[in-house]
Amino acid sequence: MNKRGSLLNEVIIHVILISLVFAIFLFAMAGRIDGRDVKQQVLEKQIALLIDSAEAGMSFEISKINVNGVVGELEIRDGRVFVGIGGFRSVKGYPYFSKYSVDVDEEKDKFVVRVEK
Amino acid sequence: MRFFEVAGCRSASNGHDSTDSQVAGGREKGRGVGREFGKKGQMAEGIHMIYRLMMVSLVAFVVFGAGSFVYTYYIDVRDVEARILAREVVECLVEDGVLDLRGDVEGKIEDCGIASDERIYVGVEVVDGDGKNIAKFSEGDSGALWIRDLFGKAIVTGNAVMGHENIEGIAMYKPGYYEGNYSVFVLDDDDKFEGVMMMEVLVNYGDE
Repeated sequence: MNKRGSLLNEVIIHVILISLVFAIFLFAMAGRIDGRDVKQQVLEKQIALLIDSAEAGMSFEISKINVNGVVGELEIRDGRVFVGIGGFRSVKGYPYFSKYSVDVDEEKDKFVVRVEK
Repeated sequence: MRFFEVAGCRSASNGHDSTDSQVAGGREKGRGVGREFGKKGQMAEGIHMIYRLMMVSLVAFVVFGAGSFVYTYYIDVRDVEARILAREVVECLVEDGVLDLRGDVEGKIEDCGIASDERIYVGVEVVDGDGKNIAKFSEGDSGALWIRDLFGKAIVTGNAVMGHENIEGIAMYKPGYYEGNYSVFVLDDDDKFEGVMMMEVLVNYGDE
């Protein structure tokens, strides 16, 4: 009975550890499976193209509750657009080119991007 | 443990008086050796468990890595960026339909606010009505043209360095490209005449 008990112990420990390993990888993949990366790309590139083609004095709004998910953050820095969706921050962003100055203001339910001279 | 106890009793009975203390001593010795083997067994079991965990991690890494590769999709907007950039440069260089080539032409594109960026290449060539070259200037990394030519050759001949069958996989590195000709009036040092401004814009992979 002691041998059977220790064997069962071993098996249970192995199962728990293996489940932990798979759970870690599954959570790491969850973002990709629900297309969060693609949604982030869509928003970043849309905003970058809008900035590229905007004239001085233009502004445009991005709702926080979006078809691409809940936009948690929107930053413009170092010539790149960063959009964070679903609580996850953007690491790479997407570059834009504009001879004007670009700023972002956060309001209650939206982000406002202003292009100024 | 029983084996070592029996061995202890046997050695005790082989030429020694089998007293209780000798038997007890033998048992103690047997237990000590048994404990030592037990510890080694546990260590081996621990090493084996680490090995199993590493194999499981490797399998999980491969499985989910493959899934990650499948679920990735690259949205290519560089052709659109190239068109927008071309329009911006044309609007900057040509005022009221007149391209002013008086003075220094080399820094004209940079003066438009398109800073020298290794991701972007803008090339402008101005010719007159007879096709004679009047001016040529550019801004950005002209080496990107080589990358574009490489993709162009692969599609046409199917026999480039990377091989035609690999084009789909490396398509994300194909630069965005726009080429356009604009009829303009050219203002030169001497006079004003009709000409054509040929523009070439290239936007490279910028997701780094």
